[in-house]
Amino acid sequence: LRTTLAACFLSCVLGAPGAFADAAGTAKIHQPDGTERVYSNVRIRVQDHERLLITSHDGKGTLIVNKASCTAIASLMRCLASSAELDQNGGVLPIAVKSGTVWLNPGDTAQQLPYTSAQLPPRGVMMALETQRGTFVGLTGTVDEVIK
Amino acid sequence: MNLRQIATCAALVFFAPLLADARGYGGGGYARGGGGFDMHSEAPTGGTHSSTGPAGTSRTTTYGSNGSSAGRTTTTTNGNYSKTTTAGESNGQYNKNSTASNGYASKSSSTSANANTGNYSRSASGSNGTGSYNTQTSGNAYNGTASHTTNAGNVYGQSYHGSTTANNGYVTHGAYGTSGYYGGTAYVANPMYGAYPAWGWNTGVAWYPAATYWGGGFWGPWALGVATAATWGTIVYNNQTITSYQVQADSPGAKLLSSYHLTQTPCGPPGLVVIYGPNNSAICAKPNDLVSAGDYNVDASNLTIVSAKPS
Repeated sequence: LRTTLAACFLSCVLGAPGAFADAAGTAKIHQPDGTERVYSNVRIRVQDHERLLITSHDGKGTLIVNKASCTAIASLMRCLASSAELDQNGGVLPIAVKSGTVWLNPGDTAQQLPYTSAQLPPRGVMMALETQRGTFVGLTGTVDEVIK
Repeated sequence: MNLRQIATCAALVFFAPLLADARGYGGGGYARGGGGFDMHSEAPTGGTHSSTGPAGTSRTTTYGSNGSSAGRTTTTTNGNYSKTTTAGESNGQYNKNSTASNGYASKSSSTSANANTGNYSRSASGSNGTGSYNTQTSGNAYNGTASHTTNAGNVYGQSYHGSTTANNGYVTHGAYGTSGYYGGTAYVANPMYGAYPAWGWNTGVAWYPAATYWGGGFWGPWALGVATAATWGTIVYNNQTITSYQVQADSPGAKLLSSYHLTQTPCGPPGLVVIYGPNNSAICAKPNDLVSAGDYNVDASNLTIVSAKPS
């Protein structure tokens, strides 16, 4: 279809920018040395209809998925992430993505994920991402805010 | 618009400027300690920086040497002097090791700490042609416990031993040197436990006097005023008569006497070794080749006797 699909999907399906209170996303980061941490109440935002921002509850770190190819599948949007970065401690760390998939439900009703029994709630987000260095990032939650 | 069609679209977005400067990630900024997300495995690894100072000192630092963002090894050299330091941090565990030498003397140290458990430890040692020393420190920053010992010696046979422990606000310290006079005080190093850290004679367990026992229980579990304990003479100290009782086997006092090869004898006659213990207690023994006649106090932490006055 149109190459504009990806660029507009968020603006089309999530509507105008607005705040979503009570961030309740959950991120899990597993690193190749065995370290694994689960981060609750992460804030999930979409910026400029282009970037997915995942901010820790303490606000000190933001993982940004800033490049992905998106495909509409039924009522869901599937994006294959290819670039990310971590904005933290006053610096931006580029992260080489090996593979990553982001599922979004832009609608107002829960949607079944293909080939699974799982459902994505309205504005739901599910992400699985692996970096070149072997770090796995998992994310579930809903989009809290769409920002310019 | 048919959304079912393959809609391979261009990028969701587009690169933000890559502002990162690799030098900014050496300090473990993506580790757990600083908040945010712990993604230390993603920090840049590997790199070398070299410099030469005006005095001819050269320094080379390799960072990322242990696979983590904070791992680094620094080597400094100047003539015969060489120093190598390795440090790294991962998952709250910090380790640092350092060695240095100049062809005549050398030293090494090792430090570790864990931000999660609060445990820390440090050891250091050094030596040259005439002497050596070593120190050990360990503790827990969260529960306030700490232990520190120092041992030193030289080729002239002199030695020093010191130890300090802290537990929940209580601090004990003991130190002594080679048997002999220091500042007018005679130290008699314990030949058996002298090199042990504090309370090493008691398997590392601190010993404190029990108020309801004679001598705090140091000489045996004799209750104050008990009639069944065998009296071993009396001595007068500061115009006060002190009754001595038989030291019971397996007591700290018995261990003290045994380590100095002393045998208890009734107090009273002159020319004896008089050892004043905790809680206004005293016992007597015949002098030997290790301990000369005189008055001594007990340093319970190291089971050492120290002259109460020059003998």
